[in-house]
Amino acid sequence: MPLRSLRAMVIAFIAMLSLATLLTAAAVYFALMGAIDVQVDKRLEREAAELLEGNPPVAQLVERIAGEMRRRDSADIGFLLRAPDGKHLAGNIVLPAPVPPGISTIGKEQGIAGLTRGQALLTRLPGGAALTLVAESEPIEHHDAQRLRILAAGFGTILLLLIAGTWALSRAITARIDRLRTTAESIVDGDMQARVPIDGLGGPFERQAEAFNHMLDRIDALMVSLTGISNDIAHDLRTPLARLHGRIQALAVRPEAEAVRGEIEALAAQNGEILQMFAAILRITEVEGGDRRALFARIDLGDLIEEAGAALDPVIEESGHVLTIAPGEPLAVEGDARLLAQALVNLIENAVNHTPPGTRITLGVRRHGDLARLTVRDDGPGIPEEARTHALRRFGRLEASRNRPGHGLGLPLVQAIARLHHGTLELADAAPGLAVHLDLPLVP
Amino acid sequence: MRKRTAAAQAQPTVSGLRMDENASPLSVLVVEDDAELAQLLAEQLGAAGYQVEIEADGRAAIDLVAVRPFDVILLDRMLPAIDGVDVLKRLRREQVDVPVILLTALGRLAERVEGLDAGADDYIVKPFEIDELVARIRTVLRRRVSPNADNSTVSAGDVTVSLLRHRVTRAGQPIELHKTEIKLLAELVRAAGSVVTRAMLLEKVWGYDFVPTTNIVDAYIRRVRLKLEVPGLPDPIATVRGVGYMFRG
Repeated sequence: MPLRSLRAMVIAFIAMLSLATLLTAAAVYFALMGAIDVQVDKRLEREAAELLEGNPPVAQLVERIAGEMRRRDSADIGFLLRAPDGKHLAGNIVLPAPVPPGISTIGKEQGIAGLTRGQALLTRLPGGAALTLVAESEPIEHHDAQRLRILAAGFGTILLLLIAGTWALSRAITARIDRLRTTAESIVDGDMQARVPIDGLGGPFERQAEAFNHMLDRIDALMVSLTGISNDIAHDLRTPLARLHGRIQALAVRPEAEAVRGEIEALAAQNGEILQMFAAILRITEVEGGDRRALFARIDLGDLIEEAGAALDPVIEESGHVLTIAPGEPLAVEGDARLLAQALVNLIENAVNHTPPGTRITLGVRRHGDLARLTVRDDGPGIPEEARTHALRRFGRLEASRNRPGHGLGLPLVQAIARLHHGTLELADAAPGLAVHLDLPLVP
Repeated sequence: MRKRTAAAQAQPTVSGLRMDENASPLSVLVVEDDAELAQLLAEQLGAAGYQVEIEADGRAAIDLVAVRPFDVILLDRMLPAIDGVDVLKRLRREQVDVPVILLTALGRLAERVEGLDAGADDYIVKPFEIDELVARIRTVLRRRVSPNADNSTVSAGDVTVSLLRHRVTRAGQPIELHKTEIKLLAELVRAAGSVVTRAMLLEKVWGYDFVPTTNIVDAYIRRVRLKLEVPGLPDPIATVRGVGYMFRG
C-alpha cells in the first residue's frame, strides 16, 4: 500500500506515534530508576564516609556500626563488616554472594529479607577488612510493577487519545472526501442538481465544498445555456426545415414539376440528410441529458444481439457481408432497450458501411470481469490505433470513409449510450479488422 | 387568424392519398402559430381530402372546439400565450375527446411522455412527412372507431395475416414468412390503402425509435415481396418514393 493513501498515512502515523510513546515511556522508566539509584548511592556514600571518618580501627568501627544500626534514620540500611578472612565482625545482614568493590546493584539473589532490589557499596579498609552497606532502591514491595502500571496507564491514555484523535480526523477527512465523491458521481450520472452538503461549521473543508458547489453552479448554468441553445435550435431550425420539407413535397406533386423531378428529389434527399444529422445531434443531447434512465429495465443481452442481428440480416445479405452470432452465456444489464438496440444497430451498420463485401462480422456477448462485453468484430481493414480517438469524436470521420454514408455521429452516439449505462466503448484491433467492445455493468 | 380551406379547392393527390370523393370530408383543426407552416399543412391536408381549419392561438382553439366539432386536432406544442400541452390538458378536462396529435419541434423522450400523458393520441416531431401525418391521422381515427377490435387477424385484398397463428395466405395459398416479416406485412395490411412511413414501420415492427442509416425496412420489404409473389397476381405492396409503402388492398 503506497504511503500516498490516506489509510496508509494514518496507519503509519499511528505506528510511529505508538513507537515514540513506548520509547518515551521506557526512557522515563529507566530515568526514574537511574535517579533513585543515584539518590541511594549518594546516601550509602554519605553513610560510609560517616562510619569511616578518621579511619577508625576495626573495634571502633564495630561500635559505630552498632550505633548506626540503632539509629532510626539509618534503620533502612544494611551493614556488614567482614574481617580479611571473611569472618563476620559486625552488621545486620548476610551476603551469600560476594559483591564487587564500589557501587553495585543487588537483587533477590542475595536473599536479604524484604529486599527485591537495592544498591550495595563495598569499601575495602586498610587492614584488609571489608565494609559493605546495602540500601533498598525499592522501598515498597512491588514498587517497580506499580511504577510500570502508572507509566503504562499514563502513556497508554496518551496513546489511545492520539489513536482515537487520528482516527476521528481521518474519518472526518474521509467523510468530506466521500461527500465530494458522491456529488461528483451524481453529476457524472446526469444529476446536475447534486451539490456537496454545507453544514455551516466553517473552516477549510467548508470553503472547499463551497468552491466545489460554486463550480457546479457554473457548469450547470453553462449546461442549461447549452441545452437552451439545443432547444432553441430544435425549434427555430426545425420549423424552417419543416417548411422547406413541406414545400419540396408540395412542389414534387405539381404537374409542371415533372421536368425537374430529379432535381426536386435530390433536394429532398439533401434536406433529409440535414434532418438526419440534426436528429442524431439531438439524440446525443437527449442521451447525455440522462432522462432516458427513467426507462431502464432488465435486458437480456443475448436476446438483444439476436434481435439486432436478425433486423440487419437482409441488409447484410444484400451488401455481401457475412454475419455470425457467437455463442454466449445469458447475461443481463439494466438499460434502455431501444437505446441499446440503437447502439448495436449503429455498430453493425458501421461494420457494413465501412468494410468491403465479403467481410465477416461477428456479434458476441460475454462476461468480462464484472461487466458484460458486447462485441461487434469484423475482419475488414480496421482503424489504425492513432485514428481511433478521432473516430469517437463528433463529426470525426476518417479520411478513408469520407465518401461513405454517415456523418461521424454514429460512434459518439454509441459512446453517449454507453456512458448513460455506466459503461464504456472501446475500439480495438481484431487483427485483422476492428473489434468494438461495449462494456456494461452486469446485474445479478 | 382563422382560415378555412375547402378540400375541393385544394391540389389533388399527394402520393395517391386522396380520400373517397363521395365520403364527407373529415374536419381537421390545425393549431399552429407559424403561419407559413400552417398554410402549407392546410394545403397538403386539403389535397389529401380533409377539411382544414387553422387557429394560431391556444385559447382561441379551446373556444373554437367548444362550439364546433372536429374529427382530429393537430396541435403545435410551442404556442404563444398558452402552451400546446396546456391546451390539451384543458380540452381533456372539459371532456373533449377528439383525437389530438401533437406536432412539435420538441422530440425528447420526456417531452413525448409529457405530451402523451396529457392525453395526446399521437406525437409527431417536426419536420414530418405529410404522408406520415395522414397515415397517423387515419390510425388514431381507426383506433377511436374500434378501440377493442381483434387485431390478431388482418386481411386486405387477397392477403390474410394471422399474427397469433403465424400464418399468411395469399389467394388462399399459404405463404411461409419469418416472424418479423409477418409483423411487417400485418402492419401494411392493417393500414391498407394508406401510406406507412419507414419510421412508423421501424417503430411498430422493430420497436426502434430511431432511423438506421441502412435500409432495414426496404430490405425486409424486398423479401416479403419476393415471398408474396404469385404468378399472374400483381405486387400488392406499392412503394411511395422517399416516404414508405402502401398495401394496395
